[in-house]
Amino acid sequence: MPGDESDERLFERFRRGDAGAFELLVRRHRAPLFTFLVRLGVDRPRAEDVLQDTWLRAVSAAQRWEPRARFRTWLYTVARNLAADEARRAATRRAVPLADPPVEGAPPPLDGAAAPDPGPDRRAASAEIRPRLEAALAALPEEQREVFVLREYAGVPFAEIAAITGAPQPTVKSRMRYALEGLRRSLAELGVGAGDAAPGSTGT
Amino acid sequence: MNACDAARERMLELSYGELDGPSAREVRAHLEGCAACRAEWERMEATRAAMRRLGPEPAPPGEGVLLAAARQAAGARAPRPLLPWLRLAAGAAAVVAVGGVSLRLLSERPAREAEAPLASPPAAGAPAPAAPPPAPPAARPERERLAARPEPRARPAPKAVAAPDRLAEAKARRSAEPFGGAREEVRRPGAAPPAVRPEASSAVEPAGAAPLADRGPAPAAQRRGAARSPAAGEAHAEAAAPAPAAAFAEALVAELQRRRDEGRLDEARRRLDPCPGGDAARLAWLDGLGRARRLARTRPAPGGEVTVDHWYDDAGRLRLVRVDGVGPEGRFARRIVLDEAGRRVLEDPAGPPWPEADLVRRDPAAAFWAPRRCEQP
Repeated sequence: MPGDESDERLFERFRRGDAGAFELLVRRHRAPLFTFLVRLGVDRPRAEDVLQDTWLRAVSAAQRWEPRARFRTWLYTVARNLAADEARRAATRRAVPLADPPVEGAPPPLDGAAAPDPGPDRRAASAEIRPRLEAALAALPEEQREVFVLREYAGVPFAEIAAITGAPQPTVKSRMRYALEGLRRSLAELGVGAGDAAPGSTGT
Repeated sequence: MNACDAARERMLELSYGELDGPSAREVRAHLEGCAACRAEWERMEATRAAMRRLGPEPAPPGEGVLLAAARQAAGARAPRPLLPWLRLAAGAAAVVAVGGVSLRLLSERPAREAEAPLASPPAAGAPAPAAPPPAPPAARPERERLAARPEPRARPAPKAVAAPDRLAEAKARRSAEPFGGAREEVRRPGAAPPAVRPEASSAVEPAGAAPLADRGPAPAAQRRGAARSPAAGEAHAEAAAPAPAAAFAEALVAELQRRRDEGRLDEARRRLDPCPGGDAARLAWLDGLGRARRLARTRPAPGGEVTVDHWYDDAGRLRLVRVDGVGPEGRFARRIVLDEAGRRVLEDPAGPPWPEADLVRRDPAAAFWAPRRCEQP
């Protein structure tokens, strides 16, 4: 377990030269942040870029950190902005992919990043249902999907989601309600009933 | 209805554990007594439970680089009783170090991450391994340093061939991988110690230190290999008549590609915030010591974008530039081959020379890590 020390305390320790504190932050937030990016719809190679870029910025930011910001809010805000930049640039990049120079004798595409293997158990259990869940998620309007993914998969509380997305808290919650309602309808259409889910479990 | 509205307001928070004890009890009490709200609650919980089956995404590799970056950055700030002068220097350059030098030393592969930056520092306190470090002149072969500079102080090629010992020295000291083209291939059979013979090397040497073309055969090497593997005598003939610029460029690309495939070069990519004239994306292939052997920069251009892709030899000299872009008149490409002295020996297709200011001749790793440069309006 990464321990109970707050993100801000850990980051403060890192600022004072304790690299181990940064490691705890990475352990705590790296996977959820990546999950956020992927579920948001950023494709994997780019999500990996954004993930890495965000954390490297955190390393550099330590120099001029202002403690009034929450670390997680800062982290997700940066990642979200980088992901938005990615989306904006995607169109031009498609015209001339960086990884695909046209000169003769050019190396093969550099993007070797395939989706990681989900592992045998998850693979078997989720083979049928997973694409449908992903489709339901993808069908949500972006601002609803963002709120849902932040809350459900990244574990970010509503107040912080408001800070990250720049929307007031009531708006965030209303988007969340719409998201849940939209998901419910999509799942029903896709044939994923409540029976497919483990009943009665409540997340944190 | 008001009670229901209030309850529904807070159901989300209850579901996600954001309500304190008394508030949670209140909402639960309402749910007990209100069938409509309870139905809503159950729908919500069922939807959540279904969506939770997606589970978390496993984080991709790359954590090692971050932690090493953090160690570097933290090291620059932490008290360092043994080397107070170093701490002062590091403190002054801390921001730069985080964004630049330190990250260049890192590799995705943990083994090298541990050994590469530490095992063979070029010279104590040398700040930027990607550039020829400003070291005491006595410490390194002067001629190599000079030749690495772009000024047209052309050194006759035969001299270099005649100085294998110096090169071997340089290699030993800097773990460099001289890629001098055909000449380099010639030199090695005579000058190389047993450790660099094919196959034998990989087990002994650190990944970044193995010389060119001595690793097991790869497709790219095989294509070119025929001319190189034979006896030194034959190869000498090749050295006397240097391969055409285009062939050299091709070989350089193939060789670096092979190293990349073998994991001896790490690919690093950066996306930058767009700004006029600034890079939007960069790609670099970094060796075990953080020196860039390839640097590609993509930036927006009128009507499209342009990528300038630089390829460097083992002495860090820019030898090939591939420009690829889309402009108002469609797609264009240009290939520029440079000789050891930095002169452009081939520009293909011909046309007005590509702007010199656009080329990164020196310290590509620094250019990779540098903040973007925007045009001032």
